[in-house]
Amino acid sequence: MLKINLLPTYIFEKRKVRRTAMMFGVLLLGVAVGMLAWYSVLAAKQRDLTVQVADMEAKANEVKALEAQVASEKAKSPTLQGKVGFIENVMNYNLEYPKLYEDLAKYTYSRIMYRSVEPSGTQLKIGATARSVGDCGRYLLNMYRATHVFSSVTIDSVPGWSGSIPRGFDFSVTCNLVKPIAAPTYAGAGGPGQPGVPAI
Amino acid sequence: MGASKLKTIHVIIIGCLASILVGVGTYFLVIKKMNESIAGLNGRLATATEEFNKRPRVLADLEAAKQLNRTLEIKYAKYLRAKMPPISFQDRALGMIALWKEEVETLGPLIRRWPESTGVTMTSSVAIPSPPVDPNAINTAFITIPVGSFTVVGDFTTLLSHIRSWNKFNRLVQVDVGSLTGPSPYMTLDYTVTVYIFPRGEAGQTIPMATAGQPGQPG
Repeated sequence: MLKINLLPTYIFEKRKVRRTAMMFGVLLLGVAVGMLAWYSVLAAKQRDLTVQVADMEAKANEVKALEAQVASEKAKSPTLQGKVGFIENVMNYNLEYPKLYEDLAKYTYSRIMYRSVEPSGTQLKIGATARSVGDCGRYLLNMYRATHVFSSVTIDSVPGWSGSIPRGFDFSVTCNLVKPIAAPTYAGAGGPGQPGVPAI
Repeated sequence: MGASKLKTIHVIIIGCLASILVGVGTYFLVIKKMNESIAGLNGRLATATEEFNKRPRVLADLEAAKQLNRTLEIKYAKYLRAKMPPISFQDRALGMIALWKEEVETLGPLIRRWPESTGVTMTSSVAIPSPPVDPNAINTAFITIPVGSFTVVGDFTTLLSHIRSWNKFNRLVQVDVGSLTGPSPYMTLDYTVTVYIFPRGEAGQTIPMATAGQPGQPG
């Protein structure tokens, strides 16, 4: 059977408009609900983060307080360290010259007699007497072996021949120290003392 | 336009516009601000976490600094007991008088007896310089007393032991060795002695009444 729709088109237009409006109403609602859901998720995340940040910042402030304590402890050290270091340096300095003289004695040939030994921080100046040039030579060879004590050993002269073989002569030796000996100084030492009251 | 004149295309256009408006408006007015706030919180969290992660190292540094200070305090206390007279300039006048007694009544006799007690013969005399008379002019942190030159006689080994023995003396003494002359066992050794004192504690106020003596006017 043939179906012919004889109704005018404007009758269906209203229905189509209504349906379309309902569809878009649902779409609009969906968009609003979606945005609301997104907002809820973000708000929950923000709340969690706020709690975490507050907690972590409190812990970070504790660490900053500890760092301030470290700085305060480190500030105490230099003065104490200066005093203790100076005391120990003075006591070590007092042992330097005895050690140097002992090292000198180890390398001194037994047939050489010292008349004087004068230290000056960077050098030793030695006045000595030898019985023969052979003894003086042996002494010098010994001193040349003391490379950990002296950086150079210089003898002033040995006698020549003037009619007879010399029996005993004086000579001088200058030895430069490998490790110069310097007196310790204290940073907190004041300026010059009152006149007539030396250095106090 | 009356409702009866609304066509489907109108509804579609209005519906799309409304959806876009709601979606975009909500995003820019609400969602974007939330995201920015969350990014800010994440930044703060990262900074705070980085600071917190330093904690083990900072604790180790603090312990090391405290340990160093404890060690230094113990060492310094030991040296104070063994080497320093109990002089304090908390009261400057009393400190100055204590220094007088130390120099005139204690140090001189102590130093004079020491060389003989270590086996050498002293051939020079000992003199302690005059102590200061102005309490405001004293270096209250560090005192130097230049005692002067000594000459001692003995054999080589005893002379060197004598120099080393100054470290056992019950004051802090610096020995500057001079010349060594003569044959052992009658060698002669010259050296100079300086005594150092670290007063205890902090110095007190200066004394307004105290003035140094002035030289007399020419006649």
